[in-house]
Amino acid sequence: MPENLKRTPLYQSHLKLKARMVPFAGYEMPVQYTGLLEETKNTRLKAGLFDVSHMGQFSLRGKNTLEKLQKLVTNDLSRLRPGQAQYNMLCNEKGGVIDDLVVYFRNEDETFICVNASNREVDFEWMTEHLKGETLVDLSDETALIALQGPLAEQILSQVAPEEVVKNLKYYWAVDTTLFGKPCLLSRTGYTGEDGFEIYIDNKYAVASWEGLLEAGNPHGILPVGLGARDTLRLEMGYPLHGHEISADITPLEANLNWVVKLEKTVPFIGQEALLKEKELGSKKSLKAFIVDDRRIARQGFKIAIPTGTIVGEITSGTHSPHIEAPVALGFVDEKHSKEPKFNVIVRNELVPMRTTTLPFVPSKAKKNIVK
Amino acid sequence: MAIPKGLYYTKEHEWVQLDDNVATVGITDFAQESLGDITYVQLPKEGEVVKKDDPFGVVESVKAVSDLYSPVSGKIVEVNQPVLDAPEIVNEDPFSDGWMIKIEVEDESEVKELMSAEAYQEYVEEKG
Repeated sequence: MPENLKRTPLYQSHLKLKARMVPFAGYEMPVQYTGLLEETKNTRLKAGLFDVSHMGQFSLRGKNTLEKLQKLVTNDLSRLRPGQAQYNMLCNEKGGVIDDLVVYFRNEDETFICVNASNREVDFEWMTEHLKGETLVDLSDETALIALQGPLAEQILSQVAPEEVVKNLKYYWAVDTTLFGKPCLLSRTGYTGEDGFEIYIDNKYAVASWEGLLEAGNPHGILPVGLGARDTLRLEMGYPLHGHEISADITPLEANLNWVVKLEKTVPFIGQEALLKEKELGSKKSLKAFIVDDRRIARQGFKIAIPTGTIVGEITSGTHSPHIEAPVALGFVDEKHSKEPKFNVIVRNELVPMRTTTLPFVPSKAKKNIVK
Repeated sequence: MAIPKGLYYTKEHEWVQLDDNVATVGITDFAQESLGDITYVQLPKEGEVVKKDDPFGVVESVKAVSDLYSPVSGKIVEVNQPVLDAPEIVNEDPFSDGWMIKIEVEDESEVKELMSAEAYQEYVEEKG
């Protein structure tokens, strides 16, 4: 293990669960507990508990913070009501994605932002620079983040948090409530495609919350889930991962994230000009979803070719989907070849056929638009 | 972690069982556990000739791809078809149903040069 890795407040809990720890985004994180495929399947069938405390959280404080943040992000924050959250892209002038983030409209005096661990410093610097005179506070080191995902998540959480609050919380809304009597920000969000929650809680309550949730979920078959299964779950949904499908050199339009880009937004935002131009002239490459007709995994960096052997693109993420029972992958194909009927992935000098498909690979069960 | 006695072991975490002049080859419990869920196994065809230390196949899990190296020289006389169709057998039973290939050994002394169960145990602990 490299030196100087940070640990989340749940580090000792992971060791007790005999997790395999790996370096990730500067942290020592659990990659798997019982087994990657078992953890993936169990999250779709029952429930999974994830430590994602490595992720970063910022608080933007003051009046009209949402309006000020509008000029930094691609989605339209003016649509949010207090308590609501929104998936968003932070872009540079070229329209490249600095990071993808979730923006929470807490109240008139605070906007809360959840960012990727590996981009935390870059994001903070960028936002500070472009929000001069505003108060931006990095809460990452004192905030733990636990995700409870799966069809039984609501049932499990209702036992240990106020039941009415849990049941009435809508998809992409958040509320200040309690977990085991301790204050937390409870959000009906996640990155698995299942119904579920994310719990932002002070570090000092993290261990009791984690262990309490595993205990409460035990009769329901809950399992702790590591980063390996988390990646498979997000990939089965076709959700992008920064550094793979999106990056400072890839625009959200190239990555099929048009639904997060509101070019008609009245407040101009950084990257808008470049994205408008891209929309007018067309993208240079497009993201495609593939199912490999073989057992070999198409991995990040593997080349995509047409049957003649001409290379037309590159895989950005690949895994074995236990639900499709085949390797699945995402990858960019040059626009002029995007309508080719047949694609192959080059695996160890061999052309392996792939089928293109529509996303998600596995139907989403997140409770979209459900009002109870 | 299981390390059955009576088998021979390689530094690449393969095991060899010698019956007369036929060596059965598979990967160890340590190897399958390190790889995690195995999703693909690639093996050569019967009749192919392999040389000691040459790659003869591939084992792939979600996390990693690993080459298989022949522990001995000889002709492949049998390939375990079921693990090609159901690679998870290797995770479930690496020392028995999860075997990979059988090699007709040219020189039995090549097998005897490999590690014993005790020596392999020490080797794994040192690396561990």
